[in-house]
Amino acid sequence: MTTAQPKPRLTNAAREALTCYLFLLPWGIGFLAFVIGPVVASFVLGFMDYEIVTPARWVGLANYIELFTDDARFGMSMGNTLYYVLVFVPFHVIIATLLALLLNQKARGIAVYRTLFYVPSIVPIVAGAILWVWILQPEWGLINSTLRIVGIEGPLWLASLTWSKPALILMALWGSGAAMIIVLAGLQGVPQHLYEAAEIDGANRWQRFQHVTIPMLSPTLFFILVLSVIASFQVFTTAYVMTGGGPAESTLFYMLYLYRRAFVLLDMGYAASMAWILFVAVLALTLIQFKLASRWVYYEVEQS
Amino acid sequence: MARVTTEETAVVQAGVSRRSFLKGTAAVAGLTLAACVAPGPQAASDMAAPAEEPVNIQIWWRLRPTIEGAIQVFEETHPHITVSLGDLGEAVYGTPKYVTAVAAGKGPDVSYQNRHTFRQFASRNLYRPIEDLLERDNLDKGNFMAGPIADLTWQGTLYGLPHTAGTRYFFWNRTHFEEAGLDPDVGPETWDDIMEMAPQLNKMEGDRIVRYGFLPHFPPGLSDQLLIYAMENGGFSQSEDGRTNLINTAPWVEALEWCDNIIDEFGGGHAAASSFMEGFAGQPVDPFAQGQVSMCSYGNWMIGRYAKFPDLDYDGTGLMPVSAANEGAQVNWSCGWTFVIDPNTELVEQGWEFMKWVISEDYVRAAGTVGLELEKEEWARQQLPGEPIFAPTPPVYQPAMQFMLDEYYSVLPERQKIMMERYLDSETFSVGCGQIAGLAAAELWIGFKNAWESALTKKQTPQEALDASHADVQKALDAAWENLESA
Repeated sequence: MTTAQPKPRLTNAAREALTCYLFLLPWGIGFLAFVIGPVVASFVLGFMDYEIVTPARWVGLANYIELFTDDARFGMSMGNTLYYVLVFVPFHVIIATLLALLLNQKARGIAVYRTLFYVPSIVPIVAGAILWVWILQPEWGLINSTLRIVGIEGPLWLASLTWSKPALILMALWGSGAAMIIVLAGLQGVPQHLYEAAEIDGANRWQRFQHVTIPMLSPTLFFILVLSVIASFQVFTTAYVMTGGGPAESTLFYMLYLYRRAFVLLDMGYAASMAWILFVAVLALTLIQFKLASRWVYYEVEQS
Repeated sequence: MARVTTEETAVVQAGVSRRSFLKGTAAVAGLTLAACVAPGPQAASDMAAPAEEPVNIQIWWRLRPTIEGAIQVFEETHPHITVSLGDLGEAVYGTPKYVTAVAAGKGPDVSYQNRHTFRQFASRNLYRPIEDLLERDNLDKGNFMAGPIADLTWQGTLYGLPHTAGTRYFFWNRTHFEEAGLDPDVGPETWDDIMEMAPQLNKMEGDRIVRYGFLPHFPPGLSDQLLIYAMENGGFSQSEDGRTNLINTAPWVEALEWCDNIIDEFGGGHAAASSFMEGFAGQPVDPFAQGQVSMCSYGNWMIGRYAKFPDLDYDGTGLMPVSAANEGAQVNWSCGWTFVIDPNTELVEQGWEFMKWVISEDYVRAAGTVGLELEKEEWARQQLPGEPIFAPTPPVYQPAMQFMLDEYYSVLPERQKIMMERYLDSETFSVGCGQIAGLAAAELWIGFKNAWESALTKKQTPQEALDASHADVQKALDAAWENLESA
């Protein structure tokens, strides 16, 4: 005699789905509490006057109106940041690419060279900043002392209105090793047969670089470009440690100003509105980059 | 990493069913959620230890070996209280760590605070008023230096106990004075004296200045120098009612012009002077200690520190040189550190007990004992000649100050002893930084820095630079008063 098996309350598929969601739950709770929650809170705070220690007060668009009509520092800090982005990003991509090309050679001890160029990118940023304060010291710092040997009187660097931003950019470029590693990985992913085919077709070294390497590397370069632009808009630590925004606010970058409004002047509502403006600006720029990407980024899979 | 064998895996599989594993996961998630919810004041009260058990209080201070040694003494003499020490973090031009912790209801029971921004935060209820405790325990305000008490008083209520104090101090190098044919016992009393002495004390190598007679932007990296020069010229930072900022008035503009002028005239210009001064930014040894600047305006705490340089023969005064317009005036400003109680803490009594101890001679003795030992070690490490010159930070509470005088300052070498007396005299006429800064303190200190840098780098004229800073500070001041009155 056969007995009827009790019908399971959940199908296997439903049970698997439930298991999956339960595994995701801890992450989900964290994401809601520590990412989505603050994002929503900052959006709401942008419409409030909130000094952290006193109750928040609804002010509508007042923070945004003040930012665009009555805050010279908003425009100045954005200008300083745009300068940083426009100078740093191209140099960053070019230097990372050139270093990767250089270190993609088959030479003895190449791993050592790669390590040497990569190491600065893992030096803690505050330690690196303190080191660079010494390197950039106008009187006896490494750079000006070297320049003096060849008869050039170096600038005041961090104490100069003109040279303070380039000095911080120079320091940031020192840490291009991480991007270099990504480009290096991209270079090593270029199929060898494409170079061989180009060579058979009579392409010289430059033509192979121009018509094989660059197109095949374009997704990697695009990735670095997008990330660099986003990161550059958020430049903070080096200026906070090395200059405090000076001299005369020449290195008061957007994030430093935002931090000052939030945690020094306790103007958290205003800082929240600044954060959202930055978010929208960076999002818009990223979307533009993606829109323009179809003109120069080559995806082999898509093409085939 | 430990490897799980096949046998162990089987046990795990047999012992923990999928259902019980999921139950466990859910429990962990629940606990995580529960942990994320901050307990309210009632919950904190419920969790307080029974009276007979030692109660632990959290104190945020500027951690140093001397402090840790003193806390040990406190715990030994107060067995019913244990202390968890934490570092205060950035605290001179704002206290972001303390502010955010209090706002989140997680502030330390007692905290160290700088008086630079005290009134701004006291007016926003960041500190517990202590008038009731003071009255109950008959602690007389008259036993404290008057300036710090005024700094900590907002609308008639005291919000903290002042711990230490310090004023600006004018130092000069006696050896350089002698070399230049100047009287080493008499420093400059007016700006005209400085203008006369500075070029005589400058030392040149070709057309390059290798020793500066005087540079106003001293010490390297400090951004509030403008304040003392404006005060020397009769300037006030704000109106008596604290509603109008005055940093673009004539005394301030003239002071900034004077500083700019002295750099151009006797400092080789901004580029040369900044280049020289930048070399010392962040260094433990400043150019006066190294004998590369002959006169400087710094702070009284350097009286003891300069003693560690055996080749440095120095003198100084807390009576700052003044402009011709202000001749005869006694000018200085004072600042320092203070202890406060978190407005939300349940452990007021324990916190207050600690605060009473830390301002007293018992603390001076404890910290002094540790400090002197450390100083002796430092002296031996650096192989400095003679006995250690130990001049600990002056306390604000008069009985503790008396103990400090008897125990430590009375045994100082004669010159340092005189310098310390001059410092103590300067405390009697100094204006407290809390009163100077008012309700828009953070904006004001930033305003000083901006105006100073903009004028000295020639980005703006002194008048333009101060007008810009004034506009920022006034805006913040108006907003602070508006918020206060609408609250």
